Amino acid sequence: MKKRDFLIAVVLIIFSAAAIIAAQEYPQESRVMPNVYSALLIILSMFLIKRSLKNNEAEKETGEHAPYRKFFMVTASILLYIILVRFLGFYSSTLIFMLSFMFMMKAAKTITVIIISLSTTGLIYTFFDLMLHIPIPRGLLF
Amino acid sequence: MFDHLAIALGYVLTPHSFLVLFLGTAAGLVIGALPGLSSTMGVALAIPLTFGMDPKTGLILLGAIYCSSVYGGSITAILLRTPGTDASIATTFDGFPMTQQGLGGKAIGISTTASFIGGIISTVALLLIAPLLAKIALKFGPPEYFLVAIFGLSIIISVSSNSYLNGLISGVFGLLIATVGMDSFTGYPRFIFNSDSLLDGIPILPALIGLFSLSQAIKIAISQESSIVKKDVSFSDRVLPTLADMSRTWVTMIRSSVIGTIVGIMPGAGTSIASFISYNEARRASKEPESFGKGNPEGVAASEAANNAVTGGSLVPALTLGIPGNAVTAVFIGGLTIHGLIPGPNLFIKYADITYTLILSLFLANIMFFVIGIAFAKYFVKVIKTPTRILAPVICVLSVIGSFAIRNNLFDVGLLFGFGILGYLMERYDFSPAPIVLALILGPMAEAELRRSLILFHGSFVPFFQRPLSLAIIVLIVLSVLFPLYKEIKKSRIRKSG
Repeated sequence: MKKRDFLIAVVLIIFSAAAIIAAQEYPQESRVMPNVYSALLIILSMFLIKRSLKNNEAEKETGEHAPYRKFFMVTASILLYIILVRFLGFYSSTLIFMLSFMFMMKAAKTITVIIISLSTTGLIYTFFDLMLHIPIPRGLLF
Repeated sequence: MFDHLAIALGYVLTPHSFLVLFLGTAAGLVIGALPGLSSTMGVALAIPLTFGMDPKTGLILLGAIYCSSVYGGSITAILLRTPGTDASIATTFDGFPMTQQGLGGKAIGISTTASFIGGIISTVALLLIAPLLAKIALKFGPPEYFLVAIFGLSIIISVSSNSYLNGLISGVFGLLIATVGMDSFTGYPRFIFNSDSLLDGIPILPALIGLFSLSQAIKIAISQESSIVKKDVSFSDRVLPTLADMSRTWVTMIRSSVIGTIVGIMPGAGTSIASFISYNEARRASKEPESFGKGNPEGVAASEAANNAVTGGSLVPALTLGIPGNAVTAVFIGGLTIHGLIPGPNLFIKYADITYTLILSLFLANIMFFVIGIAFAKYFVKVIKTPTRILAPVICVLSVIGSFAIRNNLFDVGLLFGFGILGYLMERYDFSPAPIVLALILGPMAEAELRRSLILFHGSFVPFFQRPLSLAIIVLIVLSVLFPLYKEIKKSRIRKSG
């Protein structure tokens, strides 16, 4: 737990330092606030490092395994879905995403998965497109 | 005020508005009752739907979801000891013991009535206080708006997280990314990485939907449980409270409603804090405090009246000053701005008929969830068993469509993805995502008003202390910063001595 606080602080310090460097070319007036915030964030990260060092021995790792593989699978499929939307359009990608996501997760019986995917897509079409005329991403397919 | 209310009444009492109200209430109930789906998520996912509606109808929908989702959390809190939203954590203390004693229906009846009374009292407060505050806000100049934004930020950061430091880090991180976009004073683009989509800054709604909806979808997809709710949920006793129940709990309900409303108006403190405070107050005032935690209906009444009373209260600073007190009202402000309604005194002057329609619809939303809750609570508990693996992809799909529809921009869908992952990681590592959203709204306001004030005062800070209104806000800020610090120090002293 405390080791990751340390890592978070390091990431934040690098992030703020990059922001300060990037802001150097801005006009004086435009760079004041970003610089103030970045500096504050660096100071706060120092406090976080101090805290993480202090509690280092007191707190043992709880042994809870971070579900990295699942996290990667879930986020990767969402990312693929977003890319698909750009090329195929919203409705066809949504159908593909929902079917494959639920099959991957073994969410329900095959027939239930198909019905849910079709009805979600259909309901969105009815509400967003037909009734409320809300813009929906279009692509090669529907 | 009354002529605006009359116009609003004519609008709200149409079959069309009623249908929207009913759908919003029903959806809010389910979202609130399902653990893992929050009020913020419900309102955020509904905003894209409002694009296709006129602003009044859209606000009726958002208001209905807000009110009923806060109430909905109590159903699972009582029956399963799993609060549907944070707001109902204190409800489990006495609600679940009541279920164990076979009084689940009675507990839901009390919670429904308390939520209803809390909601109504706070809406009355909103109706009375907001126009007054709007009048004061008319006298605000840049320095006052700057200080109000700082006040909002300071108090939000101090209470929104378990740890003071973590809250501050989230808040300052939010402030830093809020500087993205064109500097409106010099016209110089900051941190936009050559992307035109970032010229206006980070769009708030995709960020919000990512932090509060997509992150939850990722979370429930990853969690090992196939269904959030495993046990069977049902109850068999009568739901409608008896006169005896009411005479026992009404004082608590009224007291808690007042507490909840006041907590709601204070920026930063939200529904869960309100319910904890009034739960403690109810126990202190009780003649038999030892019965609390063992199934005392007063405990349920206290917690539920207070959390629903926050709804109306929290809209006071949001509508009059544009200061979001919690994450839900931040979403609300996002929803208003989309329709060109900038929070501020103008909502009570130029757009008064829209604003009063919203306030009036809050009354009706409270009545609506009361009726639905009392009559159909038995059937609503069945929906709670929806498997999470079905919910997760549906939330993803709605998040994508929602963040796209705001500007017809696929770039925003990419932002949604980034903020979704950020929100998931933050929650996992004990950083609350709420301060980021509030900073995204308040940061640009604070910077712009500060620079405007400094131009006005020729670069001097002295006038901030010479204007009575701004001095008053400075005092509030100092108090709000010192109080949590004092509490923290006291806590660490107790820890050391104990």
